[in-house]
Amino acid sequence: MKFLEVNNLTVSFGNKVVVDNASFELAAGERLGIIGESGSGKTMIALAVIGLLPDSATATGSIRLAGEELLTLNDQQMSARRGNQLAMVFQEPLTALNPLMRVGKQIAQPLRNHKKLSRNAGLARAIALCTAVGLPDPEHIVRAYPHQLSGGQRQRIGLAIAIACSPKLLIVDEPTTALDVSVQKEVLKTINDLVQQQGTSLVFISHDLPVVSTMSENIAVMRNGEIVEQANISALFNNPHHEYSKKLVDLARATENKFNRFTIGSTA
Amino acid sequence: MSNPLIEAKTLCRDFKLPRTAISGARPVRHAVADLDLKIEVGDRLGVVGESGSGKTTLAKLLLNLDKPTSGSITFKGQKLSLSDMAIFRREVQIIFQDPRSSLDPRMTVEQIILEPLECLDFQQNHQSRIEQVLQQVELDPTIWLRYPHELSGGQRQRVAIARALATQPSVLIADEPVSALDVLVREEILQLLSGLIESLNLTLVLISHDLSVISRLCEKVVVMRDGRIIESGTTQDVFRTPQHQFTQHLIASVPRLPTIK
Repeated sequence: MKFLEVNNLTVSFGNKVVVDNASFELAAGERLGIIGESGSGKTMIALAVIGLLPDSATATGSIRLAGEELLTLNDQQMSARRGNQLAMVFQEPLTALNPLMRVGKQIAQPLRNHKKLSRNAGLARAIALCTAVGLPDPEHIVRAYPHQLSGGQRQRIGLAIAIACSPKLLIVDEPTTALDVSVQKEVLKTINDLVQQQGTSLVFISHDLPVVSTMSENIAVMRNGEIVEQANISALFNNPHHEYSKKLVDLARATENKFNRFTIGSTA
Repeated sequence: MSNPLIEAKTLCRDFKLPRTAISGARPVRHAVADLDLKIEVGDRLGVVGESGSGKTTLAKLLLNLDKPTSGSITFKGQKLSLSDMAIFRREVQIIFQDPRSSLDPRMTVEQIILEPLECLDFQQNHQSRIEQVLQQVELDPTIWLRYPHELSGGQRQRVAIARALATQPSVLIADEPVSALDVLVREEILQLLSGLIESLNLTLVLISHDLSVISRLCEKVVVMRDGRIIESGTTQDVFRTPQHQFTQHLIASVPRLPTIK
């Protein structure tokens, strides 16, 4: 039995199927990348796993986390697990964070709910988490509101909230699309380091192949709601099966070569 | 010696920030500070920098969509007056980042492309020009009557390019033209842009945070930070032997493919 097993997951809005019969597995401590274009259903898979699909969506199939079926849990049971056993970092931190609440309180919230920490203990833990995600001057940052922080800092807060209760499964959805490249690199490194330290399983969602390939061992390629290919990185790059994965790999290679021609003057 | 096409001299644009104290002057952010820039005919100039470095403010100043706090911009050696504005607008056009917000959702493709032709008093037959320009961006003529929401992301950006090219400009300013697009679509649009720039002999100012996009389309590049140009030169020189520490940092941050055995 794998740690996360998703079998024949289908998500639909009325007649419109957005995730079509998706199956994948993830061992404890493993990192899986999901890649696909916008509208391919990547985020819907993530939302289905974390139990945050919109009410108008219906999900069928099976999602088992450590042997437990998640799809049949009610809201209350799911709330007890969300943020505790599994957590998610969202794409746009400005909309994911509460604009009216100091970020320290937001980081402490899952700890207060799940671990029943006191307010002071929660705040102390929030400061420690800010340090862990690489935020400078954490004592001051916990007193800030989201709008007072930069994009990279906000995304680190989102990450701190997600890892607060040391979840066993972390889902990260396009965490760096809103960030500058130099900030992106640092945030990705922070995620990688934390996941490795804590032995967390990671589902990393992105449309950017170079980014996904630094964040995962295995990649699932999605197109129009279907997982069209699953392979480990070297297999995907050396021998992509599906036409779409082949296009992605070729394009990433070509872009890299063109850029290399400029930066190092060779086409290695 | 002939004048550069567009020249900016000690260009400044300050934004006043909200008060932090009851008395005293409001704090100021120098979005563009003491910037000198020359754009010659046929230049393909890339502007790179992080968000907040003043790239877009610079584009707006170059387009005369915003007035500098101090300093000057000349076009073909002349300062622009209001009466020349229609000529200037026909000559210098822009493509914005996200076509979902830069195209009016209540206008059809035809109306979108017709608007600059009418507003800027374009002399040739408007209908045939629309047809021509849609062909240039490789769009099927049957989309004339569609609205932006009925188009795919790539088609929408093609319409935005068609609108920019409608008045036969000589200068194209593109502010992050592909960063809102999916990778495969991005590649198509990049190829389209590079072909159009070549065949129409356009002068290009391309603003992007994506260095690989810049390296595809631009021969020269300026690197901006905090409203200033910290490094400039040919794209090859700047990318191969970056002098400024920040430029080196930017180049090192570009996501690379892992070495696959």
